[in-house]
Amino acid sequence: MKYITVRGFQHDGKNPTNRRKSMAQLILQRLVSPGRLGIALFIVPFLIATASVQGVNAQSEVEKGLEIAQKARDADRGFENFIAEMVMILRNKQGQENKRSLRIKVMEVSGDGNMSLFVFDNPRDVKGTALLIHGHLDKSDDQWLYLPALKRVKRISSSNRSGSFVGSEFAYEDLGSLEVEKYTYKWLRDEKCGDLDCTVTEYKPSEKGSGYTRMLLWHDKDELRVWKIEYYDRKNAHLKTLVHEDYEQYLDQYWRSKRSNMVNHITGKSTEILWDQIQFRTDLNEGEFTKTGLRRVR
Amino acid sequence: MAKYCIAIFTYLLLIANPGLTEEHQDWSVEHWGKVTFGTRIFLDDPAHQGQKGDNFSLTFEPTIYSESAEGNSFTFTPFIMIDSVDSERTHVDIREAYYLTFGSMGESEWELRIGIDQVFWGTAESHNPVNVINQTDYVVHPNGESKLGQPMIHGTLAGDWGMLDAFILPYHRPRTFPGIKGRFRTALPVQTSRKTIRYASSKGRNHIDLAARYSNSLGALDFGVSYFDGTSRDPRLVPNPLPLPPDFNEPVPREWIQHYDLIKQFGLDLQLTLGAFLGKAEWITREEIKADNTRSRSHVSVLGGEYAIYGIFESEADLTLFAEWNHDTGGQSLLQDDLFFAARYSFNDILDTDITVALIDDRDFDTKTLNIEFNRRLSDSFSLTVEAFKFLEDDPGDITSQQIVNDEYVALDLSFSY
Repeated sequence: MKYITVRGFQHDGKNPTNRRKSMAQLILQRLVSPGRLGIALFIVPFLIATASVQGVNAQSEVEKGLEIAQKARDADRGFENFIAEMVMILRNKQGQENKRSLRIKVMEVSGDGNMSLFVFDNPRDVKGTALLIHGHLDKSDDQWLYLPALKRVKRISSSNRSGSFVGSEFAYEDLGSLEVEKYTYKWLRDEKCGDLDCTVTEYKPSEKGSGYTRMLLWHDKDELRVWKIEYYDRKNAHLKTLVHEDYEQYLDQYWRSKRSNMVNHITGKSTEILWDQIQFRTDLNEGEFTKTGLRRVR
Repeated sequence: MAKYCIAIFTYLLLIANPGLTEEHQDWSVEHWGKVTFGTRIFLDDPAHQGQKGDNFSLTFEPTIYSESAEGNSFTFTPFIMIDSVDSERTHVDIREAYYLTFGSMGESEWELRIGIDQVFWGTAESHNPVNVINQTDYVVHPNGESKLGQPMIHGTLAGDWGMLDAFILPYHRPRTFPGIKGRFRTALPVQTSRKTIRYASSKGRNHIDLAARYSNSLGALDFGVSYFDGTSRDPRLVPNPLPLPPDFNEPVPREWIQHYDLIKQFGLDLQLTLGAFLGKAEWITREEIKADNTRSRSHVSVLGGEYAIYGIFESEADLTLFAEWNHDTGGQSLLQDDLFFAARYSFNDILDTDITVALIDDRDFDTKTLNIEFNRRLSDSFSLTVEAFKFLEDDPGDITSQQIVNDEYVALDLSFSY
């Protein structure tokens, strides 16, 4: 069992660190200040009565949301590493297609975010271009780009989270793993998704620079796989919808969707991702996720 | 030339006869490359005697890559350029031909590369004074970004403590210069015949150069400290025949001779990554030692940064702004006290369209140049680059830039990558 450390605090999912103060606690804190005490004493019994009903509900929705996020994360823990090939099909409103193909390597890091390596094979003019990401739980990720024509390793800014990844409908922030520490949660409802029973949970990004005010995620109750994500932009308009299909299980534990489609409702453009050659627990070495390793990429 | 022919023959043989490599079943073979058709249209008549006008060129840069199951690999990349006008621009080089092996040693990892390779050091955009390993292939593009392959033994040791690269460089490559008919040259042509090249070292081009670089990332800071001891990559140009006192007009020089001094160079490169802002600095100090053992010292520095505005005007596009100050006390480069400003607009569209406008302002003279570059992909294999170079102001007192003042151009490159 691997533990995730957040600012030195170790927890295993049972001790949520970012639990919000309940509504009742907040109201009491504001009322029990000098000067307001008289009024507070007078109305406290009434407030406690109503606040506790609403507060418990609010808290349970938040707690339930967090629990879903943690369970989904825990279900995907311990995979150690995986490699895969990915084809992105970019489609414009008129249906014209453009392809990107890349190889992906991901390594789990105990106590921190995952390390990922993306290497492009297509379009051919960017063949060998590689992106190395060191994910972090408590700060911005570190990113390096390798440009084979110049043989140059360049540290790049990771603040462009909302920007498009290689002209696709996926933003950089859509590609990273959903680190539990980087969102706040609220369970909204249970509903059917296809034949499965699903929960609908609202994720609110807590890090600056996100292009979204909130996301809605549909998880099935049995395996906590994500089937659908709705993205709401900074003006809270429904910007994009991502649908995952064709789930396959690896090592009797880890589910991976082999086909995903992201539709942008504002531009009418879409990007489909097809996964192939997924392999878990390969003999990947940490050395491949360093600047030295990045130079070796072909 | 013979060794190039052998190299190209070997490459063709490997592609044409996969059976050669299939015998070693655990070695996979892959090849890819790029063919570029280019043309440059010059806006003015040539300034110097013998120079011609517009030209066409064809470049071919294929790579053959073979990797063993353990990850050891051999990379071979020849480079062939054919130019319709300049015989010096028509040239062949081996950009890469090296064997790579690596492994781990306790907590550290090591890497060894033997053969011809290219190495980039630096963080700046306008000029990289710390980038000292490879010679500039100047005829390809006057921006000096193209480099010749350098024979080397390159060892690397990396760990939590950082990365240490050490180099043994046993052979010197002289810089390429345009011929009589070519543009971007001085009024007197630079003699490129190997017999005429003068070295400060008694061993000539066979002097063994040594270099090392330590680099590390500490939070937002990436830095490198480097040292180079060997033959300079920058030639000192001496007129031939040498005009003699008391009358400096006789005899009349007809060409420049390349002199390569020995140098000891210490370099520092930094990048600070703070959100959308990247702060960058490069600095070198070097001692030049001539053949007669006279010594001089110079310092070159670049200081600046870039700032990106993502999703500008509520669009998908990014605007990146660059500003750099170049300073050189030795005068080896054209950038003695120059400001560089640039803006890149990346559309982030399916075709990766971007346009960059760059201005160089010489603070010593009233010389200002403008560069515009437009890139767009046409299909999965084809891409297009359009580039323009223009003097906004040319100072007659700026003797160096006056040499190329008639070389304003518009260039078009169509590339096929496979």
